[in-house]
Amino acid sequence: MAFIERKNPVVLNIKLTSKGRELLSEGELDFKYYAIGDSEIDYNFNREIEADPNVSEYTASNSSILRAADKNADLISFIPKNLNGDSYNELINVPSTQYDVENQVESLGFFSDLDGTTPKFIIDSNHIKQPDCMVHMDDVIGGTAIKLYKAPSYGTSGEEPAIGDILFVRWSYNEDTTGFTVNKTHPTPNLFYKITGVTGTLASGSVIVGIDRDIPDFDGIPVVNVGAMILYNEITFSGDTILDMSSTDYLDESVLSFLENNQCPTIVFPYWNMSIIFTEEIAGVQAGNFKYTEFADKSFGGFVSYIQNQAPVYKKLGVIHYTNSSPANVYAEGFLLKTAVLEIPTIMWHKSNSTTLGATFVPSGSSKILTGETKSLNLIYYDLHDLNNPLIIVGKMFNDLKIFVIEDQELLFAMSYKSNRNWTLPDYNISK
Amino acid sequence: MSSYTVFTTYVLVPTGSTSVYKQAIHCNYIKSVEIETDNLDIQEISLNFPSIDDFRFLNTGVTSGTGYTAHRIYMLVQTGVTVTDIKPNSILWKVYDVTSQITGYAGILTPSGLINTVFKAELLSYSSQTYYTLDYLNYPAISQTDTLCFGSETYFFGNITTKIKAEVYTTNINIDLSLAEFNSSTNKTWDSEEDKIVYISEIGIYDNNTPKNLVAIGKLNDPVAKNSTIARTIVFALDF
Repeated sequence: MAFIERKNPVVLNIKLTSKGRELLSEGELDFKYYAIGDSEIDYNFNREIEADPNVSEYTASNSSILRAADKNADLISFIPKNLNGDSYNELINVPSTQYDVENQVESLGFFSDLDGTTPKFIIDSNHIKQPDCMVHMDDVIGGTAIKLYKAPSYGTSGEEPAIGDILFVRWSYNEDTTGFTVNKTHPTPNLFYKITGVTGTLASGSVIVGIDRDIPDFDGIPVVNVGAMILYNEITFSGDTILDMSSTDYLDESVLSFLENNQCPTIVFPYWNMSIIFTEEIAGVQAGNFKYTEFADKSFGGFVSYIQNQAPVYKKLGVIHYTNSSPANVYAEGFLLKTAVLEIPTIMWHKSNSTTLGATFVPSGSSKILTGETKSLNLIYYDLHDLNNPLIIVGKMFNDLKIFVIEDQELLFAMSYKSNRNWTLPDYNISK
Repeated sequence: MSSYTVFTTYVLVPTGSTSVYKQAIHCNYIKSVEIETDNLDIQEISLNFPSIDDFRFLNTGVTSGTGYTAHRIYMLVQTGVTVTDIKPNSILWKVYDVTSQITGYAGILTPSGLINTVFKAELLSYSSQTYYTLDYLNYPAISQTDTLCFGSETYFFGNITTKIKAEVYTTNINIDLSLAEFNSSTNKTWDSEEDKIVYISEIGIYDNNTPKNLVAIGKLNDPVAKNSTIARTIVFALDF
């Protein structure tokens, strides 16, 4: 319990009591009467103080009052409207008004310094499992195995690659891509692989990892070292990072004793999720191949129809969402208007207005309502367009759902881990 | 006449001794055209690219060091009798190698070569073309869950920056305390003869039950004086 801090002008702290919340939960809350009280005033004591010649300029207005509590004591003395009148007065009108509050959220993701010419990878253990690998390009002669060496920066992490981890390689023919800078002016294939086997240890100097598909073939070509990083496989990873924490781990220990305290300090999850959802087969998938109905993201399948008013135009969608176990309410009730910026620093976007690596997408135009012919979600969204060209629309941003939906089918595949490319291919015309 | 739907897309393929990077997934802007005909075999499908700028990352030699390279272009084509909600069947795509249609082709694809060519796929040879597969990606077999496939993405490998907002709904309650009202107290220490002022320290909000429940409470940071010479309006708000 605390006393109210003195403030000027007068501030009236009001809150629902526990009983009020109980009634609200039952749909029975109403505001019918008010009563004015002076329960914490001792007029006798105040008269004594006022009579004390050693105390000047003191009145009951100087009394300190306890803060209102959840289970506040009832009022024990009242100031009725009339002498000897009823202490409870009927509330005639209970008007409501609405206003917005806003705030800036720090950029969350895998990169820093995105405003500058040299964005950097964030390589702490909450983002990257092992940032300090590299490939000697004279070892790169195709096949489904790759030899990883300690990069010059080795030592940040002692983690070893494991089956299921994601390997990210910044291939380059003629430029050393070790280090943690995204060289925007040197766009090259930045590709993801899944590790399927491990022989040796990185700590010993080098490790051979099996991967899901063929690597490039630089045989006979004089080449340099290129950077590689190992990303966590969230499903099986067990280590000392935010990724293996249970829900309650996201709360500081001190909070656990005060779960009703709405000022809970919580740990903010450091990046966003991406689910590329397929509700149809990819061209080229054969009868004996892995089906889209087996894909890991199949659990999101209903969303594809839902977000298109159950009349889907796109059968494949990318959803960028902030789903994690942390109770931190980082994004409040939604994005403010058109302030969101979505940056993808490692793709080659064919609709870019330059030959630099990366693409940035922002909401544009007026807000729109997601409506359907027969059913409608009545949901507000903005078109998501290329920062440099508002005519290039790649998807939608749903402020209130706090998600981005990528509809551009090429952008989807350039973002996919399996496509074997981080570039988009151009649109075309067909005719008969 | 019958109505046919022809689906198309294309794939750029690195091949030959100068290729370095391996084949990547086909273009996923899949399009269709409808053809009314008595003889589909005599038809041909044309594909062309509208803007050379779209190939800004296609480089004409791996030694340039940036972008991507490709040596051949395949049109992917699938035909079917038009029905309602027709969609392509993933196993029935046919491959047309149309690279040779590029005038002046010199073993590697160039933006100008691609832009200046209208690629044609003759449906007369449709049945003899090979089927398109994803074998080049080591695409997994049914139930092979130990390797990478599409739909396995979990991280968004980028950043999100935004301002956020919350809508606050406020119940505003105004209470007018006129000169003649609210000038006495039931407080046991209050003396009507000696105390000419009452001091308001709290306001309770009650429901309509019997007995009344205290459902909300507001407290003043400084008790407010009230007597017959002071009229006040107290405004308090409850945020939801």
